Amino acid sequence: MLSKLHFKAIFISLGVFLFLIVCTASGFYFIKRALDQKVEAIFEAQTQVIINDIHDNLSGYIHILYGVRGLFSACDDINRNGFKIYAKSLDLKTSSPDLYSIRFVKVEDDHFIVKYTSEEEEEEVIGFEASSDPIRKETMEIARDTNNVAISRRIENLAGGQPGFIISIPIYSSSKLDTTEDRRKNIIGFVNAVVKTDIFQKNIAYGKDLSFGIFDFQGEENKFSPEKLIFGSSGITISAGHKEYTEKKLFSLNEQIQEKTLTAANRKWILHFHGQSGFGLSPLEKYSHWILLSLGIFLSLLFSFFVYNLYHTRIKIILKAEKLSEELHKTEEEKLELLEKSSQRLANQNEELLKTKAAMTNLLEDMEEEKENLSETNAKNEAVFSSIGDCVVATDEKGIIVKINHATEKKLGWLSSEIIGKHYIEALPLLDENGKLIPAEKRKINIVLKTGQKIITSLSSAAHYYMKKDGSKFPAAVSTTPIMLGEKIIGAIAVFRDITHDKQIDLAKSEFVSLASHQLRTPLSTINWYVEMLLSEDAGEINEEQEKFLKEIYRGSKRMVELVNALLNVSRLELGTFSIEPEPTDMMALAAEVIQELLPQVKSKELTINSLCQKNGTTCPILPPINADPKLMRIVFQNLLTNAVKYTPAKGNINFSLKQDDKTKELHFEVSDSGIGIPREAQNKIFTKLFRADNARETDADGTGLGLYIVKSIVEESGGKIWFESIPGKGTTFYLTLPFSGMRKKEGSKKLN
Amino acid sequence: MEQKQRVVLVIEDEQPLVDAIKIKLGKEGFDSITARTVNQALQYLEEKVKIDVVWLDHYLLGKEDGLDFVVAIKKNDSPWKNVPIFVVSNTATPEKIQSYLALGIKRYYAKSDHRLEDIIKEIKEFKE
Repeated sequence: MLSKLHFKAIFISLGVFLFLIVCTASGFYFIKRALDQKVEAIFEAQTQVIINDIHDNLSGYIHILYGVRGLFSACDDINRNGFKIYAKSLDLKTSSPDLYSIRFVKVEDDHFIVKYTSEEEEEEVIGFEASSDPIRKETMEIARDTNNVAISRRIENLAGGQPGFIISIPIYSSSKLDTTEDRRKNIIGFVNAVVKTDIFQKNIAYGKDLSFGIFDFQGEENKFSPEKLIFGSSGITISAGHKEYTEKKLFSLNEQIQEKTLTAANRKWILHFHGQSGFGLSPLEKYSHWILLSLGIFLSLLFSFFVYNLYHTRIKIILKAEKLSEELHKTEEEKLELLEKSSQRLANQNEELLKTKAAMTNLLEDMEEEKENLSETNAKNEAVFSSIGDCVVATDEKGIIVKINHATEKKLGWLSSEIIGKHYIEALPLLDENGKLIPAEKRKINIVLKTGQKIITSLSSAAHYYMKKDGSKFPAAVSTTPIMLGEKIIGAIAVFRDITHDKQIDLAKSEFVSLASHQLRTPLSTINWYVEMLLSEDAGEINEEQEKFLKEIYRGSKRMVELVNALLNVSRLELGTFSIEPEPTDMMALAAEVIQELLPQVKSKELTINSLCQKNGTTCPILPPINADPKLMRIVFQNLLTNAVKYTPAKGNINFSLKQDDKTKELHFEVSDSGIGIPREAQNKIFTKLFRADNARETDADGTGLGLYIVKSIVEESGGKIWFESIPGKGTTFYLTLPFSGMRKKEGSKKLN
Repeated sequence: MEQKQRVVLVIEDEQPLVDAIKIKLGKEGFDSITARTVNQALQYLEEKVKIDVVWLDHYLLGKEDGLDFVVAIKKNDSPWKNVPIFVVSNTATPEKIQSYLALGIKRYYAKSDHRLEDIIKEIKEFKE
């Protein structure tokens, strides 16, 4: 059924196409025929016009010639001037512009001589023997013999070098002209009209499309030989096969060829006209038949395609419909199957859902329970937090306060709601003892949040004051620590308390020590000075024994002073209130100074002291300064070196060295002596307060037992280490290391001395 | 300067020490007048007593201490403004020493560290 439909479609559209083509072809030919006819008509009209025009011109010239002959008939003697005047009166330029000139030719003994001319330009032609030219001679002889107008053939070099022809009429002396004899006898001359052949050029109206030739044909054999051509427009070629008739063409418009005869005077002219295909038509007309043809073909094709398409679409629709109905059948079955399956699945899912619901309900119950537990725990935690005695402030990772406890509210005078959301630094401004605000970059909270360090400020540090809501301030001991979640800092906690009371106690203790030292020292000073005066014999002479006794008193008193000084230092160490003020210190110079002070004793005991200074293993004269408190270092050196000097017997050796190690970044100090050493059982007590080993007490009654304790405290407080090696009876070596960072600056209220 | 004896104002509350100081000063060619309180010392100032040197202890009888005395005589209109002051005391707190030096005292001595005659010798040789 399909192929039948297709066949039908093709057949019908082809039929349509053919029909339309036939219509187009007929239209085409119809138009062509109409055009051809039109061309013919135009051609005929145009050629006729041309012929008439030429004929009129020739008649005109002949008429003029008769007029001039009349002049000669009327007057016997016409001279040159008279001729000219007459000619001028004719006003040839206006009336006959195509006439080149009128000439009068006289017959003189069978010679025809040009005597007069109307044209001023060709004066030189006067005297010219016209009969020397055969054509002219022939023409004038015919005129003479026939007593009629004669027209010549084409003369090449006639008027101003241009080709042309002449029209000649004879002039006789008498009127007896019956026979040729008579005529020949009585000829006087001729009047000739000189005409250029290019006058015919003006007749060309249609340019190349129309060409014509004027042939001088008197009935001879070949019409169209070259010498017979009087005038030819462009397009006229003289060839043997000159067309005499047109061929009828199939597609293009026909050419037009016509011949017409013109008789002028005694001569017969044949005018041969040739019109190009499409002569006389406008360009649109010329091709209109082609336009129609192409349009026609195009439309036929279009229409036939259209028809074909209609059928084709119809076919497609039919096909589609069949296919759809097939599919429809299939899907119907499939659908039923699916439906069954779906309903089964739904039933299953429903069961599942019911189970899940039960589980969820259980879960919710559990969660409710947990929630209750959690809120209980939270409440407890809250209670704990609230009741911490010290002030607690918690911030987030940016330092914004998120929580404060009750103690903080009470202490500062701010409510939670007023503080939470503010930055720690903003809510708790910190002032120094002069009342100046500590800048944000120095605040511990910022350092803690940035680095994760724990910072605990102690009682003994310089006073920092928090400001309350009412503007008053209080000193605080603060410990600031980061809140860590895994590796991340998520906030900070500051715990602080008001240490006004503690500070007062501290101050009181310091004052007590200060006062106590004063009270102890004053009587000692009294004793010292009076003994000095006695020894100076300010109260009179003294004897040897008195001097001895007085010296003992003096010594005892001096010992007391030492003890009091040492005790003072110890108390300051105990209180932790001594300050470390590091400055760049030349350690070697300091050690040298101390040794200098000991020189009297060294000399009297004849001891040898060697010093060594090294930097990274190389001996050098001095070391670069390191940050140390010179006062404290002096105490350290004094103690160690004095001990070495005291406990080394006469003629002994003392070596001390100062070494700088850039790798471990430490300063090493060593003092060794060849002295009495420290007994075994005393070694572990040597750094304790007031301890003196027995052998030391024997050697020197004057020690306080506090020196090494003070040295150890100073060294350890500075971040260093001290230890020793000793062999009783051989000697002792004390080792000391201090880090390069030097002593850490420590704020304290007192200096040791 | 003049060949007259120079006068030292000794401000010290401990009597035995005052006596010792006076004896030693005398031996070195000084005259001395003593005061045990700041007010007593300032009394001399009001009476326009001429003095050349001040020997000052820190702790004294009465409320005022040595610092108060220095402040009082260093006032612009005081006739004793340019008198050299030597502080001789047993209290050695660095803050106090700094304060004294800041106020313009010439030297500080810790009693127990120095022999009496050494102190006096230095005062005697002290030249502006």
